[in-house]
Amino acid sequence: MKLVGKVPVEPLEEERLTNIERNLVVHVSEMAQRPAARAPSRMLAFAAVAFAVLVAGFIGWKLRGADVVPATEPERIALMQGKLDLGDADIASSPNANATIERTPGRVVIVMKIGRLDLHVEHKPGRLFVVRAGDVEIEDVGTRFSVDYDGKNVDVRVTEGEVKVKRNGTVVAIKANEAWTLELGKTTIAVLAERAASHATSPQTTAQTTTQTTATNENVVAIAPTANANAGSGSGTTTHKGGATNARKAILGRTPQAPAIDLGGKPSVKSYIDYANEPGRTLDEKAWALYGSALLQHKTKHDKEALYTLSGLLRPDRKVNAYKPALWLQVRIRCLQAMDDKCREAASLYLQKFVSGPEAGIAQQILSEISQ
Amino acid sequence: MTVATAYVEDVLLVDRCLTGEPAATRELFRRHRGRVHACLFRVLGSNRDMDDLLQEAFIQVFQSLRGWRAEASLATWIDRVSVRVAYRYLSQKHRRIVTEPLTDDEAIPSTDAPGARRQLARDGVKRLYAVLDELGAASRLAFTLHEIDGRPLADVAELVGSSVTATKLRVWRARKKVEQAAAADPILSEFLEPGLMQKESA
Repeated sequence: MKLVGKVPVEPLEEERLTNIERNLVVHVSEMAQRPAARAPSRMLAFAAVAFAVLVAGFIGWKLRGADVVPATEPERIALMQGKLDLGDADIASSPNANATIERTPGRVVIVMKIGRLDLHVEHKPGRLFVVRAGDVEIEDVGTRFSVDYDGKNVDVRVTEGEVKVKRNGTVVAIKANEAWTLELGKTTIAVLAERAASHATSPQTTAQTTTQTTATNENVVAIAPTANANAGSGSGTTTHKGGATNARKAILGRTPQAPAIDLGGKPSVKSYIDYANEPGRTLDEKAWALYGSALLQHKTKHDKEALYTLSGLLRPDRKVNAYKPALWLQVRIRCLQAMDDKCREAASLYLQKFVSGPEAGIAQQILSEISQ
Repeated sequence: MTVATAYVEDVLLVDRCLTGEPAATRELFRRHRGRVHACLFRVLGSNRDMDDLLQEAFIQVFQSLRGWRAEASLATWIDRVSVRVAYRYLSQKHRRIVTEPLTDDEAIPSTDAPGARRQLARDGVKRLYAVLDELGAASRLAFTLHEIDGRPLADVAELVGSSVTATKLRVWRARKKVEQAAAADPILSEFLEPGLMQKESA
């Protein structure tokens, strides 16, 4: 059965099309003048709460009278400096190490607060062996490895076997002679050694590292003292989850944001769009115009519109020069609004694409702050 | 124009539309009215509500334009809106299209006359849509978008928000119905025969 092309489309009369077009223009201009309808958030919240209560009631009813099987109480061991033999795992810790081990027959979880651990773990099928350092989770698959955690940065080095590093929903397998750091992601031990050596010979970096215990992340080192100075000024700058703190605002505000193209005169969204629509503009020029438009929208407190405009630039297949500043502008807008999942997503996306520069350092710092 | 350039053009046009600029509204309508009309026509057939449907589709487009997140091209996104409008129309039974019955005179036209083939094609289309009127909205959409509009099954599945397997099944069922009807209707059978239109245009 071949019907393609067999049903000719009857054309609409020009007059009817003109009528439709006229109606649409009127409709759209009215729509643009109307304020956006507010979402019925209270009603939704009420409905969600009612639904949750119903579900909880139903589950409670279904479980009524059921025998509650007590879970095996995990054995808790505080890990300080020295060596510990768990039978199937040897753990050596640095002098400043502070970690807790929770052990049940099928599971060993080491929660690190700070310090360095060297582990030699035998592979045992059915037993989960995990080291947690901040928001990073290292799952052992039978190996020798070390984890260095200074409260912010995580440095995992594998000398034998394999581990899985999990963070923000992504899992990376790290094998012998490979390493993983918060800054670089997957790399090799040799690269880290090289970087450490170059840091040791740089007097400037050595001076800066006095505020940090790990010298692998120069971006964070450069930014952190400023943040701490702000936080310590006692003017309500305490950082906490969920709110845009003054310290973060100050840091984000100080970060250089690439300027928009200069069109002469007072810029407006329309002037950028007109510029982009001029015949003969290259893709890059159009993209810079979009970026300029988004920056202006952000400066005039129209963040929703700015994010919308940015969404046009931030497609993964985009290869335009304005991509980097646009990506950073997205982090800035999202994270000034709230330290939430959207901020984290924006910062993670930035770090996936650009690992160096002051912006990367701040993005990393934001991620650490969110994970705390 | 490369895909990326076309994409930026779309973003710029949408930005202008969101400010309520009449010229942008007109431009978007003129760029896409042909494809939306063709899509609606192939799904619904000749229809006296076509003006209203076309307008309704574009009102939906402009109302939800802010929701276009540029994950798909603007054209694809508009197609999705058009398909939704067609589906809603088909789902409302009281407004369901009913093909006008043929009179005795035009029941079996002679194929010898010069305009007879054109007439036969017109009747074939009428009879085809009469069979399609008996189908459910989802089957009709899948069949018309794939068999008449010529879209690949994967694209149809994405447009109607269904799996490829389910879409394939719907197309297959609809095709069976049409074939059954054609077995009892020589005009429809003649219309479905490949090459009819080519002969006619030659």
